[in-house]
This record gives sequence, structure tokens and C-alpha cells, in this order.
Amino acid sequence: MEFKSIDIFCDVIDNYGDLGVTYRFARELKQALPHCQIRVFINKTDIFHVIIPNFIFKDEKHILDNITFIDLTKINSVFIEQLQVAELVIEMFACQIPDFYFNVALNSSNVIINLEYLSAENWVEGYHLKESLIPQGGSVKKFFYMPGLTPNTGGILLNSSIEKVKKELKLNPRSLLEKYTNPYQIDLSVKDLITISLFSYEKNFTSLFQALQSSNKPTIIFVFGEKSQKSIQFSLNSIDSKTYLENNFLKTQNVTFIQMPFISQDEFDRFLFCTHINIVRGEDSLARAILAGKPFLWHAYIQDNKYQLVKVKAFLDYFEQFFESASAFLNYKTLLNDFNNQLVASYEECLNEDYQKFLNNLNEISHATEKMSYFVAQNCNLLDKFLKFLDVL
Amino acid sequence: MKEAQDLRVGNTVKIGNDLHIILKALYNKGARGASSVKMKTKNLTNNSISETVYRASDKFEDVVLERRKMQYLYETNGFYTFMDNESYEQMDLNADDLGDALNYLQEQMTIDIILYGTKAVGVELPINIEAEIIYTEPAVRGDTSGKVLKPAKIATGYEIQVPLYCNIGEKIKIDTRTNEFVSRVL
Repeated sequence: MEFKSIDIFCDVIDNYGDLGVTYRFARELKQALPHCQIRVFINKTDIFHVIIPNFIFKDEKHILDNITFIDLTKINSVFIEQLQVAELVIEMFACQIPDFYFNVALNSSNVIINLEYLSAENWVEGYHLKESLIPQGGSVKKFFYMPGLTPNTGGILLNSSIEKVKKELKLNPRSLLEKYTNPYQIDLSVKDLITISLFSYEKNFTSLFQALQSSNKPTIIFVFGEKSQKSIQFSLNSIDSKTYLENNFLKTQNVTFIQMPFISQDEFDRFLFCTHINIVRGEDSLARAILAGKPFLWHAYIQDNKYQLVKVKAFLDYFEQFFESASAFLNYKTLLNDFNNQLVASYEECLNEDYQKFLNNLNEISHATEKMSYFVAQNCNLLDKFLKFLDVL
Repeated sequence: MKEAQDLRVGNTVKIGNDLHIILKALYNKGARGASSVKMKTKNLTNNSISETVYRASDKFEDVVLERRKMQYLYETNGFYTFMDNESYEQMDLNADDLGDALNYLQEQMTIDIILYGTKAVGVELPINIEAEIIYTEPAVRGDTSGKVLKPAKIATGYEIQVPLYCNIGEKIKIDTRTNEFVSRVL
């Protein structure tokens, strides 16, 4: 089925991931379907600057990348009176479409798709592309679309320019990092340098810093986002944390911290290709880290009763197939479970993770992440699968 | 209204104009607390089976069905007449309404008729019924072929598998859920 119009709804709950994925998805769709009118309805527009630096969403709508973004909270009765619903409606992450829209879409739209959160769990395959009968009836058909990491799921969003980015960065791997280290006159050519990107929820990193200090290797940690910043602050001693906050920069023995400004999605994606290790949070950054193919640690969104450990286990069960060394995987598995063993989001709680084995196994982990990256890029292209599904509707 | 996460096997919900009975419901927790429910349902209007997925918070009209015990009286021109044993009210159902129950339906048999308003949406036979064998091949003495069951026709014309020792004229007990022989009625 060909669609001339697509409306995407996103209800941002917390953090920026929901908006980030929606923006990324809308852009990729627009590139693939340039003649299709695409609108994105969003309930929280004051966080746009996080994914598009310096952009302020002032009015009720803006056009970015030929996509119309509409502030749901500013929709007025004139808009509703003149409302034309799209042929294809996408609910991001099972959000609730507003009644004024849904009641019209029930008999005027062709298809509604619920595009869910990414998960590595086995049950995802059984839910993918299943129809969801609408209790109110109507002529519109609704389906569930389940992102995942296997060929039988909906895949993940690949950056359409991923191959181009990889080639550029292979030619000059330090060019992007230098943009952010040059102001501090840091030499990226030093021997045995380790570079780490850190984008986490609330977490205590004392054990990590101790392990890095023990290694005695020159290390630069690029810190992204406010929660990561506060995590660093709490994990350092009080003198250091004050200095760090004041200057967005701190050099301790062998570890240097640089607090990063907000950068665009594209730039963040490139960044993950450039560092030796990535620490990421949520689903979108996990997908980016997988595609970057570098060793990474995933900070899963903390849920009640440590339910995030179920998600972590599913990911580990999937990741294991890419390891050649059973002992390296076991060490990684232990660390990732400990890393995520938080009951609540907390800066104070120290989980005493053993990072040393992770640092010692970087080569083996790197081989595994490279293999996983290749597999996912070859078999799990969400956009391709999504468009194929639209074709068969 | 009931949410998808509250639905259980045996519940009946209204989807559009059709009633669906839940045959299976599986709940899974997604990310950020968003959860989904996979269901197998049977459309009571056309008997089609669907496997569908819902958000845990999707709302359904909770359908309350009435169950009445009614005695089968007779059949005329393709309509089967039943009588409510308490109110003596009569109701006609057709073959589509009765479905597989016709395999065992005999005059004066009491069954459960499930109603949505005044419309019959399902029937339920007793778990076990008794029926007379009207035809079966006799067992052959010395038959060492190893067969333990043989086909037997009951009064409604329906055929089930019975042990070799069962004969024409004998009454047998049948499990209507599995269509299996239970025992002879002595």
C-alpha cells in the first residue's frame, strides 16, 4: 500500500530517548518517502534543543528536514475543525493518540501502527506484525511493530549514512574528538590512550574510576547529559566535583573528564564510532552503540523490582553468540548484571562492580561487538522491514 | 470497561459489532512500564480464530453473557426448538448456532445456551453424555491385528471410536470436550 501522508504521535514521558528515536525515525522515513507528507505530533517541545542544539521550539509548529513538527499542547479548535488525518498513523511506544484525532482516524485512516520499544527478549518475535483489533470497530486496521535484534523482528534504525560515516572516521579517527579536546590542549596521540563516552542514568561510578586509576593508562571520559554529569560529580570527591562543575573539565591523575555540550544526533552517533569504549543508556543509544561496534556497557532504564535485569539478561543471551571466548563473555555478563543491579536510580549506591576484567578483556569484547554490529546491519534494518510491511498491507 | 491486562481466558469482549471469547492471554512487560498482551480469541459471530496483540491499557467493553439451561424439544425445517425448564419460554436455534453440539443433540437433552441479550452466541453441552450405539462392526474372535478401537455410530449419526467389546444397542458415555469414549453405561 502506498501512503501519501503519515502522522506520527509521540508522548515524551521522561528523558530524551523517545523524542530522539521519533526524530530519527521521521527523518529516515522522509528520506525514503520524499513525496509523502509527514507530521510529528509531540507533547513536549521544550527539549528539542537536546537533539538539535540551539533550536528553540517556540510556535505551535515548525518544519525541520521537510517534516512538520506540531506541539500537541498548542493545538486549537481551528486545527481540530480543519483536521485531516493521515492515511498512515504511527503511535510511538504505544502512546495514546488524542481522542479528537483517533475518533476521526477510526474511519478515515487506513492503518495505525504501534511502533514499540526495542527489546532483545524472545517474546518480541511472536508479537511482531500482529494485528490489534480495535474495540471501537471502525475501518482502520492496526498492527504492532516490534523493533528487535533478530531477522524475525522489526530491526533497529540504521543511520542511512552509516557506511559513509565509517569510511570518513577510518581515514581520520581522531578528527571528531579533537574538536572537543583541543580547547583543553589534550594530546590524543599519547600511547595507550583510552577514550570513553559516558551517557548514563543516575549511577555511582566510583568503582569505574578506581579501576581506571589502577590501570594507570591515560584516559579521557567524554560525559554526556545532566544525569551523567551529576553521576560523575557524586562519584568524585567533593573538591574535584566542585572543580568539574565549574569548568566542565577535570584532570585527575591519569583520568580526564570533559563535560560535553549538547550535540546533534548525527554527531553523537559519529562520536560512538570514535571512542574505545561507550557507556550508553536507554534503547536508542543502545542501538547506536551496537551499530558502532565498539565495546560498550548498557545502562538499562530502571524499572520496579529491578525488572531491568530481565531486559539485560535478554540482551546478554543474545550477545553471547558473538563471543569466541566463554570466559570473556562470563566476565562481561557478570559486570553488566552488576552494573544494572539498581533498585532505584541513585548516585550514591555503589555497586562495587569489577571493571578490571572488562578492561582486560577489551580485545575479545571488541571482536564480539564488531561481529554483532555487522550482523545487525545486515539483518535488522528497521526502515527496510517497515517499508516492506507497508508494501504488503 | 476492562483493560486488556485484566482479561482472562473465558472472558468475552465486544470488538466492533462482534463478540470475541478469549481463548488465550499472554502478558509481557515492555520497556518503561509499557506492556502488551497477546491474545487468541474466537469471534462468536463467524467462529474465526485470531491471534492479536494489544496494549495492556487498551479498553474493552466487558460483556456479560447470560447462561440458561434449556431442554431440546424437536427439530422442524432446520430449526431446533428449546424450552427453558423454569420459565417454559421457547427459543429456536439453527444449525449454525448449534455447531458441533448437533453431533450429540438428542430430544429432551438439557444444554446451556449462552445469550447476549436475546441472541444466542454459544451453546455448551454437558461434559459427559450418554448415547446408544446404533451401528458398529462386531469384534472378531481371534483378531490379533492389535487394534483396540473401532468406529461406532450413535443415534445422531455421529461416529466415535469405541473399544472392540462394544456392541449395537449398548449405551455408552462420551466426553463431549474430546469426543472420546469414557465407559459403557451398565
